[in-house]
Amino acid sequence: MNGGINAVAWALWFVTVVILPMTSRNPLYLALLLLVVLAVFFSLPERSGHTNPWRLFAYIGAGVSLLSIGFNILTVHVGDRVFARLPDGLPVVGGALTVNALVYGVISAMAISTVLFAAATFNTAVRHADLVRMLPGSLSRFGVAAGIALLFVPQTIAAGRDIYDAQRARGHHFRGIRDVPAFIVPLLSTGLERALLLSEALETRGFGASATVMRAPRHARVLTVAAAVCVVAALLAIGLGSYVPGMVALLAAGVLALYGSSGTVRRTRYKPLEWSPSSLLVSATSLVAITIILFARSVTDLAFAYDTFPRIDSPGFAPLAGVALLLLVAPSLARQP
Amino acid sequence: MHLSLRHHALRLAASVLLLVLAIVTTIPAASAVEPDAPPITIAIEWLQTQQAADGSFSAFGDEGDPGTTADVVIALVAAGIDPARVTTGDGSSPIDYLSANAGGVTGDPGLAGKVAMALSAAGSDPRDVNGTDLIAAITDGRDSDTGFFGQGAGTHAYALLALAAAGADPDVAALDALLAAQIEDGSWGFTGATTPGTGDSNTTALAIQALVAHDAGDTAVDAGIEYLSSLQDEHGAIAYDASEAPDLAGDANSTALAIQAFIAAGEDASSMIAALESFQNPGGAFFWRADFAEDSLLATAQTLPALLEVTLPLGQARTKVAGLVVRQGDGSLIYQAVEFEEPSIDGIELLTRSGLDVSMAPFGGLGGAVCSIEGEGCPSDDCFCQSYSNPAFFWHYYVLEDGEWVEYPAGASSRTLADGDIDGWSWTADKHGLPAVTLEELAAGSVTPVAAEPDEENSGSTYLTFAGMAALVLVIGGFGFMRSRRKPV
Repeated sequence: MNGGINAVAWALWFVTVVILPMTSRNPLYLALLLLVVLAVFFSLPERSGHTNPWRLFAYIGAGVSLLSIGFNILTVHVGDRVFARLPDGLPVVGGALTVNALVYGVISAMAISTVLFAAATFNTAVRHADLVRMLPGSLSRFGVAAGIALLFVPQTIAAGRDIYDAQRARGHHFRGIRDVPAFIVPLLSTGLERALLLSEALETRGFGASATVMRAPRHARVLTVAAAVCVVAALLAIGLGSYVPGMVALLAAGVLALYGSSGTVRRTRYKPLEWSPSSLLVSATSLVAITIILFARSVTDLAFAYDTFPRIDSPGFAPLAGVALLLLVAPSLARQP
Repeated sequence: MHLSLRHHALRLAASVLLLVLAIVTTIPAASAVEPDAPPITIAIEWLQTQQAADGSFSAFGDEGDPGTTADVVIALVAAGIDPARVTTGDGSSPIDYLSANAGGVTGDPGLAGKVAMALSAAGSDPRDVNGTDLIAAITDGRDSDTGFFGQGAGTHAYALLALAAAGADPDVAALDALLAAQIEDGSWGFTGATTPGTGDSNTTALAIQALVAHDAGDTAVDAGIEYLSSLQDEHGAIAYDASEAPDLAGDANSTALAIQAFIAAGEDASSMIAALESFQNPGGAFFWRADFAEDSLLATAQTLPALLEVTLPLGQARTKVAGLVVRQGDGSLIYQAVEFEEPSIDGIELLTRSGLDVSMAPFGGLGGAVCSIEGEGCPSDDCFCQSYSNPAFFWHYYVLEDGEWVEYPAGASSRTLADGDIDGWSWTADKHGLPAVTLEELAAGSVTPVAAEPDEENSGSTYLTFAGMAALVLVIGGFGFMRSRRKPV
């Protein structure tokens, strides 16, 4: 279902897309990136109503955006353009309401929406099984758990929609709180049924209690101790104000702990990962884009920094950064059967 | 019974007296004394009682002494008193005495220098003192072998100070002679000999002030200050020389001259000023040293200018300059070079003297808080109005140290700016954004004020590029959408 673009290429694209909203609040870049993500999203082959998650992400995006805008307006009382004032006696929200905070809230909402639609695109384009397949053998148990967790929400939503449609077909009308049990009880029983099916499926695939205990990795204990040392080092580094080394140590601790706690699974593949021209195109453009976004800023000013406080200025726009974002539209051009 | 009661009463009175004395002696002295503060007032009152009938003052014997009289004139001028009005019963003032005896000092360029300096300070012309040209007497008294005016570095320093007071520039050789007389430990000796160990604090302090007055020998001045610092005793006073080291015993005259040298060089002399005040007797006079606690006319006359933080030569206002860089929220930069006459000013003074529109508010023990500069910031009644949420904006205060801006940890009123220092203010919630500048650039006006960080480069073609890219994305997205919805044939 992933067309001509394989999961690795999509993963690269997704990582590249989410870096910018996390590092910049330049509204021009965020707007362009949002357009790019939407272009890629709507270029994907049409899915069935049950699996197409765009409405869900649109709802979540809209909700988070409204929350972000409202939160900024009510809690940030800084800026040169005051449009209203709440009584100063009100805790937290009391004070000047500024256009600066409103604009910052809109920009933040745009960043959140971009990440959400990028996630929707990634979810739609890539099968979870392909993602689990990408993981090394030692992380397969973690991958299975993550895969089940990733599937949980969409499956529950799909089940909820089925129940709602079925009840309506029977003539039931949802009017208020009293009608909730008519929806919740079948949803729970469906969930339990699905859990039983899942456990049986896992059992038959050798993940259950009756499975042969997997041999612990040879250096499991060493890896666990190393992970603990990394955690202590991370805490010390962060406590002393060295955030970057601290985060790197924390990341290392996570990786070591994962490897240390995972069993070894010998895996065979019937179908090797296919690197089609589309996959190569998307991977190459993503790599170029991520290089520009991460490294070109140290050579030239890409105008990623932008703030609406204390006054609203017009944002900068570097053509080089714009080109990097344009490269991310490559999945729209790629052939997807 | 009566005896016992009286005995107790006496013991109680003695205890109370001791307690009062203890409290009085432990009260810390103020570092800067105002001219009308009691220690100065009573010292001047005491000085006036020492005037002879001919208007003179004498530290040694009964006969009038031009040197001591010149010292008193300098002290009176420093305290803002016109010496011509300090007269005896028959109307003679110290100026009258010096004028009448100017002819007698022409043979000694050092003494002529001291008298000329005093007369210049009092507003008289040293080139025509009852027909005597004291400046000519100084320059004519040049020793062709040593290059000194007079017989040594001490007289030479006084002569140079007198020339500075009269606005006369000595030739380079005269300043070179003084620089060449510096001993390797940074000191100068009265005779001008450069043998190690012969230097003294008095000649060194005079030499430093002479060099500063002629804007020469920065390195030599620094070395001289180092030498003076090495002579500070445990109470903060300065000893005459290092001969009694390590048991140094400071004296009033040496401490006073050292204070003047420190102030002239832009150094902090507050600890020495506090020590100097301890040399005052209850009657107002100062004594030379703890083991010679008698009232001393010379000590009193030489101490007063130092307590008033006045340097030699009087009347030569040496302008000092401090720099100021202000960065506003939009990135615009304001550069100022502020001139001042005092030895130092604080950060708030620098800001207010810059002529910028500044509003402030009291900030507890830290002095004043700066609320707004040039209209940017907060009102005085809510000085940190934009700092209560994230991002927190307020005026951050920085000082330029070794070319790097460092945020100052205390209030601007706690900061002491000497000649050449530079302060910075930035309206920011994050980085200061202040550029590194030099005072020479500020004073020369070679740094151009930067206007608001500019929208010019973000207009026109920039946004056209953005619009073009956005349109391209829409076209590609539309193409992708149409292709994905096309039914297979």
